[in-house]
Amino acid sequence: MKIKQGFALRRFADKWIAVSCDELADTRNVLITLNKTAAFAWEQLEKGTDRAALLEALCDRFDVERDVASRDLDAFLQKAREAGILDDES
Amino acid sequence: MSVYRLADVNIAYCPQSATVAALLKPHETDGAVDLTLSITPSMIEAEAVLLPDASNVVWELASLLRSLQTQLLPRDRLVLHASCIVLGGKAYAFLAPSGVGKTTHARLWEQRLPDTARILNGDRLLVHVTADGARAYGNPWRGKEGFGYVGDAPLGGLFFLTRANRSSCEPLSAIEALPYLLRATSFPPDAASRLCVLSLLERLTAATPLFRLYATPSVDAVDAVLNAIGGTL
Repeated sequence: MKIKQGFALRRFADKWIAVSCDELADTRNVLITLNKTAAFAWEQLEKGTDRAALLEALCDRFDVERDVASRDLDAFLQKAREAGILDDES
Repeated sequence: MSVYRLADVNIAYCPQSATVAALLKPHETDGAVDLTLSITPSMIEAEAVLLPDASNVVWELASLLRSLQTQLLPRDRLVLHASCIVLGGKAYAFLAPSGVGKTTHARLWEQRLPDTARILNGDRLLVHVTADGARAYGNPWRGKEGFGYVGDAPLGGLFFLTRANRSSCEPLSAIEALPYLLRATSFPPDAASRLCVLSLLERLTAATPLFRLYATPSVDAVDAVLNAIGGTL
């Protein structure tokens, strides 16, 4: 799994946002707000990873129970797929 | 070629029509030129495609605004689709898409406080984001009603306006305000300029109180804002 090319991750105020660098994207599609666990997951997905490795990395990095992390991760992945930014093939 | 002062920048430009020259005239200055703008036929054609039933004057003004937005961005200045009033030496801006009622709301201020409130602009606002906060500027892009004057004031608040059956006003976080701000400004096509706009918006939201305004088309909406900004008046 990988985040599709063409997004820049940056901080905005106290949150993380992902902005599309695609010149055809309009503002409604262009902006995704991420909390810090989602931002971490995003960074891992930029390099390419699978769900199992991502869950391990999340549990290592954040002091969170495995089942909570699992639920939050799946919710984030679902949102990313719906927004069309996740490439499941690579 | 004349020189016009907009958002504290001296701009050399040669108007293509007497109407545009007249609209720009109140901003004329004899200061040194900071930048030069010119409008090409292909820029006019591009605006004509977007607004086919409009006139050369409208197309020229639209081209000029678009060009200005690009040139002012590196100078920490933005154009916001917003009406703005000045009260007690501070500017308060109301953001909403066309047709929601930002000009109507601005007019209610002059109705409610006829001796003290003034519409700085009914439709667009030039904003300069500085280290000391943001400053709002009047400009020639005043919308079809033409409300506005040549002046500027420190920005005391940004209000994101929606119509409602009851007026109320509540604070908003920077991240909540961001989607509305992006819709109120032009989001450039290239990545570097986009990140520049985001940096400016981040500084703007850090420096300016932000509110959601649920507004009826009555002076109740003005009172809701006055209550919200109370201590800063």
